[in-house]
Amino acid sequence: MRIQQEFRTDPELWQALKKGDNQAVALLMKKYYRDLLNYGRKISKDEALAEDCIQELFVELWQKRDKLSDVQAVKPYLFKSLRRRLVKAHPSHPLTDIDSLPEYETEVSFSYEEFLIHEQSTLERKTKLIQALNSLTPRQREVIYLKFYEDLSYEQIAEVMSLTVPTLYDLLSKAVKRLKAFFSGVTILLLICMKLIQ
Amino acid sequence: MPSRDISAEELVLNESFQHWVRRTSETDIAYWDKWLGEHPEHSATVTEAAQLVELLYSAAKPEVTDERIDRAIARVNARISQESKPATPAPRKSLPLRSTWSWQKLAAVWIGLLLVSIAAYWGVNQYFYAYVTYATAADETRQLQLPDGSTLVLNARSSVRFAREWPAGASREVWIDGEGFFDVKHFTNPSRKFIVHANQVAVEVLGTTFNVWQRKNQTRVVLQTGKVQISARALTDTVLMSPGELVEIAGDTPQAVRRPVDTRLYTAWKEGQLFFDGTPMQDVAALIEMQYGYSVRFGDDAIRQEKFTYKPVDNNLEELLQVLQETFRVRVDQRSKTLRIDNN
Repeated sequence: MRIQQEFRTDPELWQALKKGDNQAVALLMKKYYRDLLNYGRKISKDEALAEDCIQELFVELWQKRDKLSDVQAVKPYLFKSLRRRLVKAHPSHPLTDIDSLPEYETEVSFSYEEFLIHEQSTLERKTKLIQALNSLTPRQREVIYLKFYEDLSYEQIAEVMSLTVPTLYDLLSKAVKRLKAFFSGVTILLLICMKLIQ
Repeated sequence: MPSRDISAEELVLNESFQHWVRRTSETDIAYWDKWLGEHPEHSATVTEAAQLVELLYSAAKPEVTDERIDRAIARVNARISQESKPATPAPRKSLPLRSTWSWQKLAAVWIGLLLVSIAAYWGVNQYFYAYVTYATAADETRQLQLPDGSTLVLNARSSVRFAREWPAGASREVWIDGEGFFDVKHFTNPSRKFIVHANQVAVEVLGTTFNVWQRKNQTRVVLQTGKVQISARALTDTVLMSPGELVEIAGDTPQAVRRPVDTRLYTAWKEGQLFFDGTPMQDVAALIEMQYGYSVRFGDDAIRQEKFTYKPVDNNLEELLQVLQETFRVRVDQRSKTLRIDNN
């Protein structure tokens, strides 16, 4: 029985939750806690607060299970709720604030030798990507994050961030333009450096 | 998408294009494969866009441990089971859920951050000041001079990276991704080794001309003159090559495959002209794999030894396939980029 439950789809889990199956809460948490925490700590610099908000979110889902509507896309629903909670917890720092989305940190998880031999180009590209991402506005960064890290569709992102799809698209195309400019900028810079030295 | 001018930005933003890059939707894969075939003029833009999409998707997320999730679930479950009567929202912050951070954990985090910054600084430093990288586009080959005066011809879709300066007495090292032909300057000083790294394979050289090809986890080395020694993490022994040989190392296979070949065949790309002169079909297959990125399967192993002679007018795959079709039955699967060659 347990094993079968693992294979339930999101809408099925949602229905189970509404019917009072408390196993559904744990399963949804298993599935989305990681993503929610990663998103939460990008929005709020206070990681413990992000964790509080997520747990509170699930407790409340359970408490209000009788009144929940039929949700098909559970992940964006959870993201949106978390976002609202974090904004509420920080009324003085709405998400439109310039420094509300913290900078991306570098991830280094391989050994020195590996780094030298075959991960070299990946790390270089990642370092460059992080620099590029940090040159975006927080809202642009949030859109990129939800699209490429969380794999949400444009409609879902618009829902999570309470934007219209055209506004979102505009935001994204500006972000991508900037990223592209950053990358070609770096290449040009490199070419100039090489020219100077040769 | 209509066949007007398209920008890389537009492609990056297109969800169907994103699916194609990540191979997540059959319909989108079929659509874009077909589109690309019909619009080869956009291939540079598509490559640029695809690289950006891949890069954006590749960034690693910070890890959240399973224990941490289990702890959170336990906390929420405890809250849930306390509520006998639902629908009355508990007052916020009635129970502190905040996890307590011991000073050891905090110290570990700070040390971690410090190491990360040092690594990032070092990486950026290395990237901008110590090394140079050259890359070629899909239809470009490039002749490069290495710091010691050795030369390298870089084939299309390849990149190479080496230190800007090679101090006298130190070994000379080059990292290659793709394919290149090396003409290495000979030094009598034995400490001036010349090493080419391709994926996890290292080719050590003693004044020589040779070709290195590496895509995914396959590496092929063809030696024209001189002497090279090959070592790889996967190999149990190092391989000492003689001129006129091809050595192939595939992934984790502990044994390298070696066989004599016509080296001119494997270095013809430098002159931009392929040719086949009584060439065994297995070499033709290897060449198609190396040059056009298709993998080749044979319906019958006997075909491998059959000889093939042809000098293409244009260096394109269609022409070659047409000629092959006169002798064999050739089937092309565009999606998996596979050719299947059977007897007629």
